This record gives sequence, C-alpha cells and structure tokens, in this order.
Amino acid sequence: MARTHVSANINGEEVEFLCDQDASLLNALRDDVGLTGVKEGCGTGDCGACSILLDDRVTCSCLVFAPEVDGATVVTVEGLASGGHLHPLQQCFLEGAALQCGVCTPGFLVAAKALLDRNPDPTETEVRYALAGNLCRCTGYDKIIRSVLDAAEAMRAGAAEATEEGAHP
Amino acid sequence: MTVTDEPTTTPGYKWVGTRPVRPDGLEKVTGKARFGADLALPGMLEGAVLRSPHPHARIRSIDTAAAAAMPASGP
Repeated sequence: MARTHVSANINGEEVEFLCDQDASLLNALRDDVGLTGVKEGCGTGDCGACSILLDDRVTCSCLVFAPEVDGATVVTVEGLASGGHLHPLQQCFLEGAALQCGVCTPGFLVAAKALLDRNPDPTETEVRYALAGNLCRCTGYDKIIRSVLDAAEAMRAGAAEATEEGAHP
Repeated sequence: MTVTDEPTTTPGYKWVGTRPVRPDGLEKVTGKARFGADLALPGMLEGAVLRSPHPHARIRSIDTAAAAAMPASGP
C-alpha cells in the first residue's frame, strides 16, 4: 500500500513521517515516529493508555487515523519534560508512588496535563472527572489523584513566585 | 470518595511504612521505559495467536496457507 506523507508538530518539533493510509495515530507514533511512550491498552478508546494531546485536547490516539493529524499539534508523554527538567506532574507521580507497572502512566500524565493547562486549581472531584477516561489496573486511583493535586499546588506556587519576581525585578 | 491519609512511618523498620521512589520510575514517567511491545530489532519476526472459535473441540488441522503466503513469513 502506498505510504502517506504526514507533517505535524510533535512535542514542539516539526516532524514528517510516512505511514500507512489506514494506520492509527497510535501505531504511527509508535512504529513510524518512534514514540513508544504512547501505549496501547485496548485499541478501542476505553482505557486511555494511548492518550495524547491533539491541538491541546486529550484524544485517544488509537481512535484517530494518522493522516488526520497532518498540520496539527501533537503532544505525547515524551514532550512533558523540558530541558532536562521533569514536569511537576512527573515529579509528583514519582514521589507520590502513583505508578506501578507504568503502562497507564503516560496516558494519565497527558490527561492530567490537559486538565491543569485549563484549570490550575481543580477540586478532587474535578481531577477524578478529568481522569475518568484512564484506567489503572495496579496502583489504584488515590495516589494518582493525590499526585495530580500536589502537582497543581506546586505549579500554582511556581507561578506565584514567577509573578512576584516579575513585580520586583 | 476521598483521598486517604498519608501512610505513617512505622518505627523500627527500615522499609515498612516508607515510600521510596521506584528504581524504574524515572523511565516510566518520561515514556522512555522499554516494555516488550516497545522493542523493535532488525529482522524481528512477529507472530499472531490463532484462537479456536470453539470453546471445546479437538484440533484436527490448522490451515496455514494464508499466513504462509504473507511476505517473508517464517516456518
């Protein structure tokens, strides 16, 4: 089958890749772009392990055809850490023991980032609601929820500090 | 449903009641961890499981013609 040319912004970089016309974005990211942090749990949009941000919206990459993202912006778990620094969510997941086997973790991190990007001060209920599309079969959800709340707090503190520094140069 | 309280440290134990960071945690939160399904090696063969459509039956033969006809298929 003829391979389709796709160019997209993936994790802040302009990336071009060739994929099968009927390839899912999940398989293209894993097999053609080499981003194996994106996991396949069910392949039917039930588990959230393949969650990515597609133009800032949480999306199951298993339910999107890869050629559809031509010209779009994609963020995967590999794009969360920047400049050798972990994202506060990653740091809090580590310290809060919010992972065991680690297959659901990339999806949880991406979905949590989408939440905190639009709501920096969520309630516990809002966190649970935002992560309802992600299934974890080992850690259980309490540590994950707590870690997201901790990360939100750390990010608000960081933002307040930055504002203060800006006000008193 | 609410988040439960922090675990308390049990005095007299080295590890019980503590929350050490997993040795493989960093790789797992950055997506760099390599699981079996994440590996791709040169010349790697891929297999597929053919399951019986019958819950209780004797296997008399398996027709492998379609699989054998695929390019570069193994024995």
